[in-house]
Amino acid sequence: MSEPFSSGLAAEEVERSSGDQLWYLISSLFTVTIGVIGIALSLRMIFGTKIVLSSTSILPLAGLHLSSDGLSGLFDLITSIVAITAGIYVYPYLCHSKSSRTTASFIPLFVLAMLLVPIASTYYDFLFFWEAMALISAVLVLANHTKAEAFKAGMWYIFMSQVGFAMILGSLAFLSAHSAGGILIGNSVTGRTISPIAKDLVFVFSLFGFASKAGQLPLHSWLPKAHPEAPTPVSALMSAAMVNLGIYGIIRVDIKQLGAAPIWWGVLIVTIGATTAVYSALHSLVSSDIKRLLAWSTGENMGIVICALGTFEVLNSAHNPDIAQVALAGATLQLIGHSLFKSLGFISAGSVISSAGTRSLDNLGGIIHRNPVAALGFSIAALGATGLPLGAGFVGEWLLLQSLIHTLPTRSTILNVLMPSAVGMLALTFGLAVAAMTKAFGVGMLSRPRSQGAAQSTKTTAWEATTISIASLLCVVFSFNPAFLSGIIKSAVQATLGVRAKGSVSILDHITLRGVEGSISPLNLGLSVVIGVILFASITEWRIRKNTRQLDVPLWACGSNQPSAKMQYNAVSFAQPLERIFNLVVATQESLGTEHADSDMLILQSASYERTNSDIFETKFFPVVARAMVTLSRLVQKGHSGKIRNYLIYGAIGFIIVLVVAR
Amino acid sequence: MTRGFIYGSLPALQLLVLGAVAPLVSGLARQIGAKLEGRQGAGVMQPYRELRKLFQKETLEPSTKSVFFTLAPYVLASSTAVIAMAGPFLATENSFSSSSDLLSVVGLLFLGNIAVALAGLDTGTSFGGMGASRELTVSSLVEPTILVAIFALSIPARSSNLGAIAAKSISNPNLIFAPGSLLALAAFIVVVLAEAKRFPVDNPSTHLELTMIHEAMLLEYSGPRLGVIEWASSLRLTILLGLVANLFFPIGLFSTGQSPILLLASCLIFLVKVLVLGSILSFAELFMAKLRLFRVPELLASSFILALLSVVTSYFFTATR
Repeated sequence: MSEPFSSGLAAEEVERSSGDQLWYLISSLFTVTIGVIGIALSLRMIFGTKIVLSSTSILPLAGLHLSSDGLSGLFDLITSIVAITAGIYVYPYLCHSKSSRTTASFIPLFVLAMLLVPIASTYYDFLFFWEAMALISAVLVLANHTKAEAFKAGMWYIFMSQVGFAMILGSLAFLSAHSAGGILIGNSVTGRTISPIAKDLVFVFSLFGFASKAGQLPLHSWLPKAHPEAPTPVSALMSAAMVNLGIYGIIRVDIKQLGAAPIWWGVLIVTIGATTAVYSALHSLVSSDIKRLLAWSTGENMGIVICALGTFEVLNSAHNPDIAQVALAGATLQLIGHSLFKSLGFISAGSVISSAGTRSLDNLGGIIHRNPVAALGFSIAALGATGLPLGAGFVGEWLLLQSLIHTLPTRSTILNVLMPSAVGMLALTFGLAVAAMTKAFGVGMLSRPRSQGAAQSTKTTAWEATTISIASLLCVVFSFNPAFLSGIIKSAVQATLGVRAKGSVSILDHITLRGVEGSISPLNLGLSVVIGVILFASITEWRIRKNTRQLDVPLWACGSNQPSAKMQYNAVSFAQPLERIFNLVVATQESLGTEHADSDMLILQSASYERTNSDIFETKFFPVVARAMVTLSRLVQKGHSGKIRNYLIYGAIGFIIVLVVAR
Repeated sequence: MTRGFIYGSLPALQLLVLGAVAPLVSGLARQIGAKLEGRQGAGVMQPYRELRKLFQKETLEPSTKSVFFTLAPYVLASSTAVIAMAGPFLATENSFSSSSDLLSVVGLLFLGNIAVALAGLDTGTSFGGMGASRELTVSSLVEPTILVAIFALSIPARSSNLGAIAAKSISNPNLIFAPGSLLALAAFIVVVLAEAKRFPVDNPSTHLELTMIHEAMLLEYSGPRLGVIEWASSLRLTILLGLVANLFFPIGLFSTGQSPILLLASCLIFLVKVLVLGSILSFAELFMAKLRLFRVPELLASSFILALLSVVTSYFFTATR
């Protein structure tokens, strides 16, 4: 009876899947095409040609107004590059995960929305595309909504992005009302007509709103939940392109639009950035889920960028524009570098995950032998994420450090305390990030496989290998020679500062600071290490082959048999010493359960060990906010008696207030 | 002509001198330690003999190794050699000085540590993983401290280039005796001990796997590769002692434009400084016990705080001057 039924279903399945494959291919092609067009247009925006498009009919109410400057160009360029690499990866990923057509069709839309945000020339358009981007990405995060974890992550994401949006909406609506014609790009005189207190409020609200999009404290906790649960190409897009737009918002609105700032603005920005950087680096270190680890690392890198922006703001307020430019160039390079290595990281991790069938580092291992392309791609990304020389994160961090060193010590006590603390926190972040990435790569990709899935994982498909190679190549070229970006960075810096700026950072084969001492050459440094490795290797390996050599020697196990794969260090045990040191922040809960075979509890039958880390902001800070909201709503509830005469009185009072205010 | 030639060839000369002297420094430290403990000792030349032996020995390759295991010793050696070439060891400035920036030196030191840690993880043994985990625990606290401590020196010097810092201290010795520099020195000495894998953090001559940090990662190495690691480790010790010597006591550094004879003198002065520091190190080690692993972070955290204090002091003192 059931035979024809089941075969019919199978036939339908096959038919459906081939139809789906076409969708996936189209989605992939669209994303890449949008990326290519985006690169062409953004290069035009950067090198002079202003792109202006105005139409009163396309969008309702206020119409569509697009315009651009060097800053828009920079962010669109980054998004487009990520869109191309992630876009190529969309096809193999969707085929493997058999995603829905909704997911496939929303990915190009997401890229489009992200590209439109930086070129929206009015406040209205900016808010419209911003919210479109948030909603489309929410749909994509909810792609696997049948999984409880993914559903929860999606809800967190929607909640936090809307809280952030409310903050941005409030402050931008206020700014828009005080600006000439609601123009955002190419107009920075808005600040003058606003009272200082209102300006401060606008700054604080918009800063927290934008910082939330970049995964910064205290509204950060959507990021480590949503990025791992989203489909991997979407994770790459979110981590390498969408979070950047939070930075764009801060530069465009808080730095450029609000104009001259009191010194505490910069101090607040540095504090948010530095705290988030350390906090995220610690959580990234204790994460065992490879995508979650990368997501926390995104928060950390954005923290460094925001710290650089804060330094820029502080130096600008302290009338030190030359050094301020160095900080801004540092932020820009860090941003570009992060986008390159993070998209590579997610794509190669995605390839590993789909071939090994697990996201947990505790179940991975030995990937370098079975899927070398993905493992090598991941190693380049991890090197970038550490900020070490030869990696893509090095130059940005070097410039930030330079700006901190050359911050002229002033008599301002707050700066004399703030700058050293920032240096200390950045240094700690650097150390922790290195430990986290060593763990991710060493435990996940090297060592022996810890599960059946990892042991049976296979080579990447040619398609995936191409994607990984392109992304790796971009990453390597950027880290060895960022010189080819000098025009782009100059244009972005000029757009931020206004026309009067003369460049104080020159990026040729050496990156040189003008006016102060400081130069470095990533190319020389990288090449000399590489040449050194080749020399040492060829001499020593020649010697090894000349002497005798025994291959496949069993591992050292203190004289016992070959140690089993379970005896290796895993992700949890690797991070355990550091986790113990920083237990206050990462809040580890461990529980050990034992079951005994006899009533006297002498013979152990089984033991179980469970361990979780919690985000102390979620467990300590959010409940306080939630309780306060409940108390508040109880108060409101008291007023809701359900009697019509009361509501009429409220209405009358409200109307009088409106009249008084609007008079 | 000679000037340009010296300037150009200094990196190679530095590498040659430091590379040749490095085993001697660790040999001397070991010999003094042995004498102080009332043992005969193997003589100061023992490390050279060991290196020769290792380069002639057979290599055993574990079955589970990957390319990272093979390349790690060379990355360690190469990153260390680049520091030896670029840093202010014989002269304040040379043709390769732009790479002796604070962040690149700390980064290269870290890069070497990571290469070895990855090799420890690569073979998939319990000891390798244990060593790697402990190494990263120590160095993720040590490298930030080095960064912050030297940062304190770079504020009054207004440059983060190690050569420039040394040059500024020579022309203005007051900088060395500033409170910020002294605090930085205290912090730096603690982390040098940890970074060089010596007491009270690690025991370079232990043979118990469970107490090892550095050695545990190297258990699977043998033959010439082990030799490269041993040489690079002693070069690192020399470099770290050299940094202590030339950043905090920058006497006798050659600077471009002086007569070439002085270069010879600066070689000798460097040698004396490093050997004296090495002897002090082994003398001090006699009075120290190795700390429990979980007490080590307390030591490192306190040196991190010291370094941070030194930066704060530098900011305040440079500001009021």
